[in-house]
Amino acid sequence: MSKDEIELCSPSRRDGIDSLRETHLRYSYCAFIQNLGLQLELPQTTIGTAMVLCHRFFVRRSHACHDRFLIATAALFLAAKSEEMPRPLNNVLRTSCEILHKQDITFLSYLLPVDWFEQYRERVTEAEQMILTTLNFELNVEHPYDPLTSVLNKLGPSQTVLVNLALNLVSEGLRSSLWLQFKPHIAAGAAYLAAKFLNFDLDSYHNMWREFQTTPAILQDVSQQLMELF
Amino acid sequence: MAIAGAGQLNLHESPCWGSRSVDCFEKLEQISEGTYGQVYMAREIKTGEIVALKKIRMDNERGFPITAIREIKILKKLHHENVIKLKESVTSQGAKDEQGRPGKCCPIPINNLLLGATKYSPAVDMWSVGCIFAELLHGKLIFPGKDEPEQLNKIFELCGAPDEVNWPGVSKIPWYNNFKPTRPMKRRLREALGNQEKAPATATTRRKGQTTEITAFTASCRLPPIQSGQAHAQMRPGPNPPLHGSQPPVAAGPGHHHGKPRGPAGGPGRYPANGTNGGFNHQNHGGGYSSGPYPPQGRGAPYGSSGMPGAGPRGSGGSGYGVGAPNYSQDGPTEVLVLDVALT
Repeated sequence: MSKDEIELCSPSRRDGIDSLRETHLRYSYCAFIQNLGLQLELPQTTIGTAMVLCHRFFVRRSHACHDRFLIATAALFLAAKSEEMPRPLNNVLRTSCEILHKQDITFLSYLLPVDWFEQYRERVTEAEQMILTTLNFELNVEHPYDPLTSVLNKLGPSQTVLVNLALNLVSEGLRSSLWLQFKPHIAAGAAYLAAKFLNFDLDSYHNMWREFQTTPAILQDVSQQLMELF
Repeated sequence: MAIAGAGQLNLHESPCWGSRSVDCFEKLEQISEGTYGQVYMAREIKTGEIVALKKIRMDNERGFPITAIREIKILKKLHHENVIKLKESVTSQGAKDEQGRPGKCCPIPINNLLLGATKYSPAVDMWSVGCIFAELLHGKLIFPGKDEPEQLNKIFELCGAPDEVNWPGVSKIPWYNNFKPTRPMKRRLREALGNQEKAPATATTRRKGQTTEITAFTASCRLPPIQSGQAHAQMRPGPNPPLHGSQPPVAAGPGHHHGKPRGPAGGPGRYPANGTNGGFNHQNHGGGYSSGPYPPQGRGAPYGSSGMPGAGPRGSGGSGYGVGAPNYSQDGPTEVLVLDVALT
């Protein structure tokens, strides 16, 4: 999908949610997933997968009628299972509630109806099911971390600063819709930006860009979109 | 319009995206049933195509089952004429069905669990792997029992009957007394599988060694599972002497002994955690794999089960069992490849 397609055809648009608003909604559920994932001690790749599953969901369904935090909770629960890092549903639910309400779970239990936890569990499993059907059970997510490190490591061990900066840029990029548009090219964009930022002359390594299997136009596009995140 | 409030999900939105409803199919008859759910023969209403429909139960405590996620992910990756194809995944209210092409049946691991043992462990999976190897050599199902007692009996006939000598602790397994064989039976697996000359000779003999070891009765007599990308010592090409029927069948050698017990190799959540570091000694057997050499073959009488008889849809006639497994490279079988075979 191209960026224009995503921005113009998003189902949220029909419900009057403009592209800027949707960008912020995207940031907000990504921040939530990051927080939830860290508390559940999930690896960064699983957290990233959950974000991408959410992005995929919201290019198909509108923010107007699907609570993004419910979808995000279910997406992380699902991503953890899909990447063999399952977390007990009740732990996921408890942590998710505590983040959303900024309250301890025992305190929440005083405020809410008796069966609120069961109801919440039912909602999240419904959301999980909805993600699966909406994505047609396509849960595989290709991360650019591996191509990025494998290509950049060819520069030698002295370039750890460059590699780390590029990796951080990739993680930042998760907040955007880049993952819906490109596959490992995000790695190239991140490497390009990192090199530029550190005044590192990657162009002198002739085969570097070929290894990322990208074109100058894509490179330009990806790094432009990464820049917009800051 | 405002964005969705807390807890809002539009469950009634018309599904212009994503998977279809199971109503697109008409169920014809149930083919089999297991712990995983039921499999039906069904017809797609629009095209008339006959398919196998596998129903997956949702779990209220764990949501969509991780085993089903694994199965779908793996099936999506596999493209081979002998492996059932996942055509699509369809949904029904509160349940999910998965649909594959008919014509092939899946051996379904039952193993020690037949005797009422409730702990699922890597050793149970290794049993299944052994059965699949044996079936590849044999060219057909090796334990074609119609029901569980009959299946157990077939296992005892081929692999010998379990007793306290070859399987310490077996008499304490819940249903042992109900099902224990009335007469002593000797292990004759090697003889039964020894006449297969269809596969290349070295591969056959080597695999035979593998088969007898992984279908050993007790957990600690079976080979430990291997992780993807690794190969068992005797599966690698090299100067491994081929095993012959007359030879002591224990392929003893340093290659067997892994440096440390392989714990929950199948990944977290797959096997119940237990107090020991190995996870293989679920028969109250100390030690695990790395504690000593494999016992002599006569001791480790195998035990087990395999394919569901007649699980293929009526009339399809697909045997699915490629003799000699041409796609099975000799030097790098992994657990993933085994699944490949398991699903043929």
